[in-house]
Amino acid sequence: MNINKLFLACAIASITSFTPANAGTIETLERERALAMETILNPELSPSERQAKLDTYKIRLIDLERMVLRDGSLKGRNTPVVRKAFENYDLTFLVHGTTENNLALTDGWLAQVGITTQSLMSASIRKRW
Amino acid sequence: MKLSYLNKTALMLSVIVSIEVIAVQQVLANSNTPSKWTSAVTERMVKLPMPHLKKRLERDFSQSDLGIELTKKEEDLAYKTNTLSDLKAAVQEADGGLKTELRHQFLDEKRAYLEMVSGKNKLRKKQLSTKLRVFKQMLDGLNEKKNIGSPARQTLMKLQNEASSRFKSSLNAVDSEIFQLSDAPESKYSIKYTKNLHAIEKLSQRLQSHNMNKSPIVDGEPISKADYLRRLVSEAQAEISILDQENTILGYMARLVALDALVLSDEVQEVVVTNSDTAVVVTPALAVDFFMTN
Repeated sequence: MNINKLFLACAIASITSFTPANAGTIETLERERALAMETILNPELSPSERQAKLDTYKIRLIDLERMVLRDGSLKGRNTPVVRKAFENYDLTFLVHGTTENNLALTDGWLAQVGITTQSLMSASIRKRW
Repeated sequence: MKLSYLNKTALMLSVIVSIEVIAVQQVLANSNTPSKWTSAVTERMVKLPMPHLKKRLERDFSQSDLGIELTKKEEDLAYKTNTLSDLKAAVQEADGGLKTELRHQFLDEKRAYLEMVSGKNKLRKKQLSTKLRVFKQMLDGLNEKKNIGSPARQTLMKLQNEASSRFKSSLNAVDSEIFQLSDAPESKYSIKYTKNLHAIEKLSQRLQSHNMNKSPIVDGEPISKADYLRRLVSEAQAEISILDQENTILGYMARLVALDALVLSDEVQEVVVTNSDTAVVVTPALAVDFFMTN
Protein backbone atom coordinates (compact mmCIF):
# COMPACT_ATOMS: atom_id res chain seq x y z
CA MET A 1 0.00 0.00 0.00
CA ASN A 2 2.69 2.49 1.09
CA ILE A 3 4.98 1.43 -1.74
CA ASN A 4 2.15 2.00 -4.18
CA LYS A 5 1.53 5.49 -2.77
CA LEU A 6 5.23 6.28 -2.94
CA PHE A 7 5.43 5.06 -6.52
CA LEU A 8 2.44 7.15 -7.50
CA ALA A 9 3.80 10.26 -5.78
CA CYS A 10 7.10 9.81 -7.65
CA ALA A 11 5.28 9.33 -10.94
CA ILE A 12 3.28 12.54 -10.46
CA ALA A 13 6.31 14.44 -9.24
CA SER A 14 8.31 13.31 -12.26
CA ILE A 15 5.55 14.51 -14.56
CA THR A 16 4.99 17.86 -12.89
CA SER A 17 8.50 18.85 -11.81
CA PHE A 18 10.38 19.22 -15.08
CA THR A 19 8.62 22.41 -16.15
CA PRO A 20 11.19 25.21 -15.98
CA ALA A 21 10.31 28.11 -13.69
CA ASN A 22 12.87 30.67 -14.77
CA ALA A 23 11.07 33.99 -14.35
CA GLY A 24 14.10 36.25 -14.74
CA THR A 25 14.96 35.63 -18.39
CA ILE A 26 13.22 38.79 -19.59
CA GLU A 27 14.87 40.96 -16.93
CA THR A 28 18.32 39.63 -17.84
CA LEU A 29 17.67 40.25 -21.53
CA GLU A 30 16.46 43.78 -20.81
CA ARG A 31 19.58 44.54 -18.76
CA GLU A 32 21.87 43.39 -21.56
CA ARG A 33 19.83 45.20 -24.19
CA ALA A 34 20.01 48.43 -22.16
CA LEU A 35 23.83 48.15 -22.16
CA ALA A 36 23.78 47.68 -25.94
CA MET A 37 21.59 50.80 -26.30
CA GLU A 38 23.94 52.72 -24.07
CA THR A 39 26.81 51.71 -26.34
CA ILE A 40 24.90 52.84 -29.43
CA LEU A 41 24.22 56.23 -27.87
CA ASN A 42 27.61 56.73 -26.22
CA PRO A 43 29.25 59.75 -28.00
CA GLU A 44 32.60 59.08 -26.38
CA LEU A 45 33.17 55.87 -28.36
CA SER A 46 34.82 55.82 -31.76
CA PRO A 47 32.92 53.95 -34.53
CA SER A 48 35.34 51.00 -34.39
CA GLU A 49 35.15 50.81 -30.60
CA ARG A 50 31.38 50.94 -30.75
CA GLN A 51 31.25 48.18 -33.37
CA ALA A 52 33.58 45.92 -31.37
CA LYS A 53 31.48 46.37 -28.25
CA LEU A 54 28.24 45.80 -30.12
CA ASP A 55 29.60 42.58 -31.67
CA THR A 56 30.24 41.26 -28.16
CA TYR A 57 26.78 42.27 -26.99
CA LYS A 58 25.25 40.72 -30.09
CA ILE A 59 26.59 37.25 -29.26
CA ARG A 60 25.33 37.54 -25.68
CA LEU A 61 21.97 38.97 -26.79
CA ILE A 62 21.38 36.07 -29.17
CA ASP A 63 21.58 33.61 -26.29
CA LEU A 64 19.46 35.76 -23.98
CA GLU A 65 16.79 36.30 -26.64
CA ARG A 66 16.65 32.56 -27.25
CA MET A 67 16.35 31.91 -23.52
CA VAL A 68 13.28 34.17 -23.39
CA LEU A 69 11.73 32.65 -26.52
CA ARG A 70 12.25 29.15 -25.19
CA ASP A 71 11.11 29.93 -21.64
CA GLY A 72 7.98 27.84 -21.13
CA SER A 73 7.16 29.52 -17.82
CA LEU A 74 6.36 32.77 -19.68
CA LYS A 75 3.62 31.11 -21.72
CA GLY A 76 0.38 32.92 -20.92
CA ARG A 77 1.89 34.76 -17.95
CA ASN A 78 -0.16 37.91 -18.17
CA THR A 79 2.12 40.39 -16.40
CA PRO A 80 3.08 43.89 -17.64
CA VAL A 81 6.72 42.85 -18.19
CA VAL A 82 5.82 39.80 -20.27
CA ARG A 83 3.09 41.66 -22.18
CA LYS A 84 5.48 44.49 -23.04
CA ALA A 85 8.22 42.06 -24.07
CA PHE A 86 6.04 40.30 -26.62
CA GLU A 87 4.26 43.40 -27.92
CA ASN A 88 7.08 44.19 -30.34
CA TYR A 89 9.19 41.25 -31.47
CA ASP A 90 11.65 43.37 -33.46
CA LEU A 91 12.38 45.63 -30.51
CA THR A 92 12.64 42.98 -27.77
CA PHE A 93 14.42 40.34 -29.84
CA LEU A 94 16.61 42.92 -31.50
CA VAL A 95 19.39 40.67 -32.82
CA HIS A 96 17.02 38.09 -34.29
CA GLY A 97 14.79 40.82 -35.74
CA THR A 98 17.57 42.82 -37.33
CA THR A 99 19.38 39.74 -38.69
CA GLU A 100 16.12 38.51 -40.18
CA ASN A 101 15.60 41.90 -41.87
CA ASN A 102 19.25 42.22 -42.95
CA LEU A 103 19.79 45.35 -40.87
CA ALA A 104 22.62 46.44 -38.60
CA LEU A 105 21.82 46.37 -34.89
CA THR A 106 21.85 50.16 -34.60
CA ASP A 107 19.72 50.68 -37.71
CA GLY A 108 17.21 48.11 -36.54
CA TRP A 109 16.86 49.70 -33.13
CA LEU A 110 16.63 53.24 -34.49
CA ALA A 111 13.94 52.13 -36.96
CA GLN A 112 11.95 50.55 -34.17
CA VAL A 113 12.04 53.70 -32.06
CA GLY A 114 11.01 55.76 -35.11
CA ILE A 115 14.29 57.37 -36.13
CA THR A 116 15.12 56.91 -39.81
CA THR A 117 17.63 58.58 -42.12
CA GLN A 118 14.73 60.33 -43.83
CA SER A 119 13.31 61.66 -40.57
CA LEU A 120 16.75 62.89 -39.53
CA MET A 121 17.39 64.57 -42.88
CA SER A 122 14.03 66.31 -42.85
CA ALA A 123 14.50 67.54 -39.32
CA SER A 124 15.18 71.24 -38.97
CA ILE A 125 17.48 72.82 -36.45
CA ARG A 126 15.64 75.33 -34.36
CA LYS A 127 15.87 76.83 -30.96
CA ARG A 128 13.88 75.18 -28.22
CA TRP A 129 11.87 77.68 -26.20
CA MET B 1 -51.82 -27.90 18.00
CA LYS B 2 -54.08 -24.84 17.87
CA LEU B 3 -51.62 -22.86 19.96
CA SER B 4 -48.85 -23.72 17.50
CA TYR B 5 -50.94 -22.41 14.59
CA LEU B 6 -51.71 -19.23 16.49
CA ASN B 7 -48.01 -18.76 17.10
CA LYS B 8 -47.34 -19.21 13.43
CA THR B 9 -50.00 -16.70 12.52
CA ALA B 10 -48.42 -14.19 14.86
CA LEU B 11 -45.07 -15.00 13.29
CA MET B 12 -46.48 -14.48 9.85
CA LEU B 13 -47.82 -11.12 10.82
CA SER B 14 -44.45 -10.11 12.17
CA VAL B 15 -42.86 -11.28 8.90
CA ILE B 16 -45.33 -9.15 6.96
CA VAL B 17 -44.53 -6.14 9.09
CA SER B 18 -40.81 -6.65 8.71
CA ILE B 19 -41.13 -7.11 4.95
CA GLU B 20 -43.14 -3.96 4.68
CA VAL B 21 -40.47 -2.15 6.63
CA ILE B 22 -37.88 -3.41 4.16
CA ALA B 23 -40.07 -2.33 1.24
CA VAL B 24 -40.33 1.14 2.72
CA GLN B 25 -36.58 1.14 3.21
CA GLN B 26 -36.18 0.32 -0.47
CA VAL B 27 -38.29 3.29 -1.45
CA LEU B 28 -36.66 5.74 0.91
CA ALA B 29 -33.19 4.28 0.20
CA ASN B 30 -31.80 5.54 3.45
CA SER B 31 -28.01 5.27 3.56
CA ASN B 32 -26.64 4.47 6.97
CA THR B 33 -23.84 2.24 5.76
CA PRO B 34 -20.69 3.17 7.66
CA SER B 35 -18.10 2.04 5.05
CA LYS B 36 -16.47 4.79 3.06
CA TRP B 37 -14.24 5.23 0.04
CA THR B 38 -12.40 8.49 -0.19
CA SER B 39 -10.52 8.02 -3.41
CA ALA B 40 -6.79 8.65 -3.24
CA VAL B 41 -6.99 9.24 -6.99
CA THR B 42 -7.46 12.96 -7.45
CA GLU B 43 -7.92 15.26 -10.41
CA ARG B 44 -4.18 15.96 -10.38
CA MET B 45 -3.63 12.42 -11.57
CA VAL B 46 -5.12 13.28 -14.92
CA LYS B 47 -1.49 13.54 -16.03
CA LEU B 48 -1.08 9.80 -15.64
CA PRO B 49 -1.76 7.53 -18.64
CA MET B 50 -5.52 6.96 -18.89
CA PRO B 51 -5.63 3.13 -18.84
CA HIS B 52 -3.32 3.19 -15.83
CA LEU B 53 -5.56 5.72 -14.12
CA LYS B 54 -8.61 3.48 -14.49
CA LYS B 55 -6.73 0.49 -13.09
CA ARG B 56 -5.39 2.61 -10.26
CA LEU B 57 -8.92 3.75 -9.37
CA GLU B 58 -10.21 0.16 -9.35
CA ARG B 59 -7.30 -0.97 -7.17
CA ASP B 60 -7.78 1.96 -4.82
CA PHE B 61 -11.45 1.04 -4.42
CA SER B 62 -10.81 -2.68 -3.87
CA GLN B 63 -8.43 -1.81 -1.01
CA SER B 64 -10.86 0.59 0.67
CA ASP B 65 -13.32 -0.30 3.49
CA LEU B 66 -16.18 0.11 1.05
CA GLY B 67 -14.55 -2.20 -1.50
CA ILE B 68 -13.82 -4.90 1.09
CA GLU B 69 -17.40 -4.74 2.40
CA LEU B 70 -18.84 -4.89 -1.11
CA THR B 71 -16.76 -7.98 -1.94
CA LYS B 72 -17.97 -9.63 1.28
CA LYS B 73 -21.59 -8.76 0.50
CA GLU B 74 -21.26 -10.23 -3.00
CA GLU B 75 -19.89 -13.47 -1.53
CA ASP B 76 -22.73 -13.59 1.03
CA LEU B 77 -25.24 -12.97 -1.76
CA ALA B 78 -23.89 -15.93 -3.72
CA TYR B 79 -24.41 -18.16 -0.66
CA LYS B 80 -27.87 -16.72 -0.08
CA THR B 81 -28.85 -17.44 -3.70
CA ASN B 82 -27.81 -21.08 -3.19
CA THR B 83 -29.90 -21.24 0.01
CA LEU B 84 -32.93 -19.84 -1.83
CA SER B 85 -32.48 -22.36 -4.63
CA ASP B 86 -32.27 -25.27 -2.14
CA LEU B 87 -35.31 -24.04 -0.19
CA LYS B 88 -37.36 -23.65 -3.36
CA ALA B 89 -36.65 -27.26 -4.31
CA ALA B 90 -37.45 -28.41 -0.75
CA VAL B 91 -40.80 -26.55 -0.74
CA GLN B 92 -41.80 -28.23 -4.00
CA GLU B 93 -41.05 -31.69 -2.61
CA ALA B 94 -42.52 -31.24 0.92
CA ASP B 95 -46.21 -31.43 1.99
CA GLY B 96 -48.41 -30.77 5.01
CA GLY B 97 -47.06 -28.93 8.04
CA LEU B 98 -43.48 -29.28 6.83
CA LYS B 99 -44.36 -27.53 3.58
CA THR B 100 -45.94 -24.62 5.49
CA GLU B 101 -42.88 -24.43 7.68
CA LEU B 102 -40.56 -24.47 4.63
CA ARG B 103 -42.65 -21.86 2.82
CA HIS B 104 -42.32 -19.65 5.85
CA GLN B 105 -38.59 -20.19 5.90
CA PHE B 106 -38.40 -19.51 2.14
CA LEU B 107 -40.20 -16.20 2.62
CA ASP B 108 -37.89 -15.28 5.46
CA GLU B 109 -34.83 -16.06 3.32
CA LYS B 110 -36.24 -14.03 0.43
CA ARG B 111 -36.65 -11.09 2.81
CA ALA B 112 -33.04 -11.51 3.95
CA TYR B 113 -31.91 -11.72 0.31
CA LEU B 114 -33.67 -8.46 -0.55
CA GLU B 115 -32.12 -6.80 2.46
CA MET B 116 -28.67 -7.94 1.35
CA VAL B 117 -29.12 -6.84 -2.27
CA SER B 118 -30.40 -3.49 -1.05
CA GLY B 119 -27.31 -3.09 1.15
CA LYS B 120 -25.02 -4.11 -1.70
CA ASN B 121 -26.65 -1.62 -4.06
CA LYS B 122 -26.16 1.20 -1.55
CA LEU B 123 -22.44 0.41 -1.39
CA ARG B 124 -22.24 0.15 -5.17
CA LYS B 125 -23.95 3.52 -5.54
CA LYS B 126 -21.42 5.07 -3.18
CA GLN B 127 -18.59 3.60 -5.26
CA LEU B 128 -20.06 4.85 -8.54
CA SER B 129 -20.78 8.33 -7.14
CA THR B 130 -17.17 8.67 -5.98
CA LYS B 131 -15.90 7.46 -9.36
CA LEU B 132 -18.18 9.89 -11.15
CA ARG B 133 -17.00 12.79 -8.96
CA VAL B 134 -13.32 12.01 -9.62
CA PHE B 135 -13.83 11.71 -13.39
CA LYS B 136 -15.83 14.97 -13.49
CA GLN B 137 -13.14 16.81 -11.53
CA MET B 138 -10.52 15.54 -13.97
CA LEU B 139 -12.60 16.60 -16.92
CA ASP B 140 -13.11 20.06 -15.39
CA GLY B 141 -9.34 20.29 -14.86
CA LEU B 142 -8.71 19.49 -18.52
CA ASN B 143 -11.29 22.03 -19.64
CA GLU B 144 -9.75 24.69 -17.40
CA LYS B 145 -6.40 24.08 -19.08
CA LYS B 146 -7.98 24.50 -22.48
CA ASN B 147 -9.71 27.69 -21.42
CA ILE B 148 -7.06 30.31 -22.07
CA GLY B 149 -8.73 33.00 -19.98
CA SER B 150 -9.17 36.74 -20.41
CA PRO B 151 -8.89 38.58 -23.75
CA ALA B 152 -5.59 40.15 -22.60
CA ARG B 153 -4.16 36.69 -21.91
CA GLN B 154 -5.47 35.42 -25.21
CA THR B 155 -3.74 38.31 -27.01
CA LEU B 156 -0.52 37.61 -25.13
CA MET B 157 -0.61 33.94 -26.03
CA LYS B 158 -1.27 34.80 -29.66
CA LEU B 159 1.77 37.13 -29.67
CA GLN B 160 3.88 34.48 -27.96
CA ASN B 161 2.88 31.86 -30.51
CA GLU B 162 3.67 34.26 -33.35
CA ALA B 163 7.05 35.10 -31.78
CA SER B 164 7.82 31.43 -31.32
CA SER B 165 7.02 30.51 -34.91
CA ARG B 166 8.93 33.53 -36.24
CA PHE B 167 11.92 32.57 -34.10
CA LYS B 168 11.84 28.96 -35.30
CA SER B 169 11.64 29.97 -38.93
CA SER B 170 14.56 32.42 -38.64
CA LEU B 171 16.75 30.29 -36.37
CA ASN B 172 18.95 28.74 -39.07
CA ALA B 173 19.27 32.02 -40.96
CA VAL B 174 20.40 33.83 -37.82
CA ASP B 175 22.88 31.08 -36.96
CA SER B 176 24.47 31.14 -40.41
CA GLU B 177 24.56 34.93 -40.44
CA ILE B 178 26.06 35.41 -37.01
CA PHE B 179 28.22 32.37 -36.38
CA GLN B 180 29.29 31.15 -39.80
CA LEU B 181 29.82 34.40 -41.69
CA SER B 182 31.32 36.37 -38.85
CA ASP B 183 33.50 33.51 -37.53
CA ALA B 184 32.20 34.16 -34.05
CA PRO B 185 32.50 31.15 -31.74
CA GLU B 186 29.28 29.46 -30.75
CA SER B 187 28.38 30.26 -27.15
CA LYS B 188 28.55 27.78 -24.31
CA TYR B 189 24.77 28.10 -23.89
CA SER B 190 24.18 27.34 -27.55
CA ILE B 191 26.45 24.28 -27.54
CA LYS B 192 24.94 22.87 -24.36
CA TYR B 193 21.43 23.67 -25.49
CA THR B 194 21.92 21.78 -28.77
CA LYS B 195 23.41 18.84 -26.89
CA ASN B 196 20.54 18.78 -24.40
CA LEU B 197 18.02 19.17 -27.21
CA HIS B 198 19.24 15.93 -28.78
CA ALA B 199 18.88 14.19 -25.43
CA ILE B 200 15.38 15.66 -24.98
CA GLU B 201 14.37 14.55 -28.48
CA LYS B 202 15.57 11.01 -27.77
CA LEU B 203 13.71 10.90 -24.45
CA SER B 204 10.63 12.42 -26.03
CA GLN B 205 10.62 9.72 -28.75
CA ARG B 206 10.95 7.04 -26.06
CA LEU B 207 8.09 8.66 -24.12
CA GLN B 208 5.88 8.76 -27.19
CA SER B 209 6.46 5.09 -27.92
CA HIS B 210 6.19 3.95 -24.31
CA ASN B 211 3.41 1.39 -23.81
CA MET B 212 1.99 3.18 -20.78
CA ASN B 213 1.92 6.52 -22.57
CA LYS B 214 -0.08 5.39 -25.58
CA SER B 215 -3.42 7.04 -26.17
CA PRO B 216 -6.36 5.00 -24.97
CA ILE B 217 -7.81 2.98 -27.83
CA VAL B 218 -11.57 2.61 -28.15
CA ASP B 219 -13.07 0.61 -31.01
CA GLY B 220 -9.62 0.39 -32.59
CA GLU B 221 -9.18 4.18 -32.67
CA PRO B 222 -6.90 6.18 -30.37
CA ILE B 223 -8.88 8.87 -28.52
CA SER B 224 -7.92 11.95 -26.51
CA LYS B 225 -7.79 12.14 -22.71
CA ALA B 226 -10.89 14.34 -22.61
CA ASP B 227 -12.84 11.92 -24.81
CA TYR B 228 -11.71 8.98 -22.69
CA LEU B 229 -12.76 10.78 -19.50
CA ARG B 230 -16.13 11.69 -21.00
CA ARG B 231 -16.58 8.00 -21.82
CA LEU B 232 -15.76 7.02 -18.25
CA VAL B 233 -18.21 9.64 -16.92
CA SER B 234 -21.03 8.33 -19.13
CA GLU B 235 -20.18 4.72 -18.19
CA ALA B 236 -20.39 5.55 -14.48
CA GLN B 237 -23.61 7.49 -15.05
CA ALA B 238 -25.10 4.53 -16.94
CA GLU B 239 -24.18 2.16 -14.12
CA ILE B 240 -25.90 4.46 -11.60
CA SER B 241 -29.05 4.49 -13.76
CA ILE B 242 -29.02 0.69 -13.99
CA LEU B 243 -28.59 0.54 -10.23
CA ASP B 244 -31.65 2.75 -9.75
CA GLN B 245 -33.58 0.42 -12.03
CA GLU B 246 -32.39 -2.56 -9.97
CA ASN B 247 -33.72 -0.84 -6.87
CA THR B 248 -37.13 -0.59 -8.55
CA ILE B 249 -36.95 -4.34 -9.24
CA LEU B 250 -36.10 -4.89 -5.58
CA GLY B 251 -39.14 -2.83 -4.58
CA TYR B 252 -41.38 -5.05 -6.70
CA MET B 253 -39.75 -8.14 -5.25
CA ALA B 254 -40.35 -6.85 -1.71
CA ARG B 255 -44.03 -6.25 -2.50
CA LEU B 256 -44.35 -9.76 -3.93
CA VAL B 257 -42.79 -11.25 -0.81
CA ALA B 258 -45.24 -9.24 1.31
CA LEU B 259 -48.19 -10.54 -0.75
CA ASP B 260 -46.87 -14.12 -0.54
CA ALA B 261 -46.61 -13.71 3.23
CA LEU B 262 -50.24 -12.55 3.34
CA VAL B 263 -51.31 -15.59 1.33
CA LEU B 264 -49.45 -17.91 3.69
CA SER B 265 -50.91 -16.14 6.71
CA ASP B 266 -54.43 -16.51 5.30
CA GLU B 267 -53.87 -20.19 4.58
CA VAL B 268 -52.68 -20.84 8.14
CA GLN B 269 -55.63 -18.92 9.60
CA GLU B 270 -58.03 -20.95 7.44
CA VAL B 271 -56.62 -24.18 8.92
CA VAL B 272 -57.21 -22.80 12.42
CA VAL B 273 -60.82 -21.87 11.56
CA THR B 274 -61.48 -25.29 9.95
CA ASN B 275 -60.10 -27.10 12.98
CA SER B 276 -62.30 -25.07 15.32
CA ASP B 277 -65.38 -25.92 13.19
CA THR B 278 -64.82 -29.69 13.49
CA ALA B 279 -63.98 -29.63 17.21
CA VAL B 280 -66.46 -31.36 19.58
CA VAL B 281 -68.61 -28.85 21.45
CA VAL B 282 -68.74 -29.71 25.17
CA THR B 283 -72.32 -29.32 26.42
CA PRO B 284 -73.85 -30.20 29.91
CA ALA B 285 -75.88 -33.03 28.31
CA LEU B 286 -72.68 -34.87 27.41
CA ALA B 287 -71.66 -34.83 31.06
CA VAL B 288 -74.92 -36.34 32.33
CA ASP B 289 -73.30 -39.76 32.79
CA PHE B 290 -70.88 -38.31 35.30
CA PHE B 291 -73.85 -37.43 37.55
CA MET B 292 -75.73 -40.83 37.38
CA THR B 293 -73.68 -42.63 40.00
CA ASN B 294 -72.37 -41.76 43.43
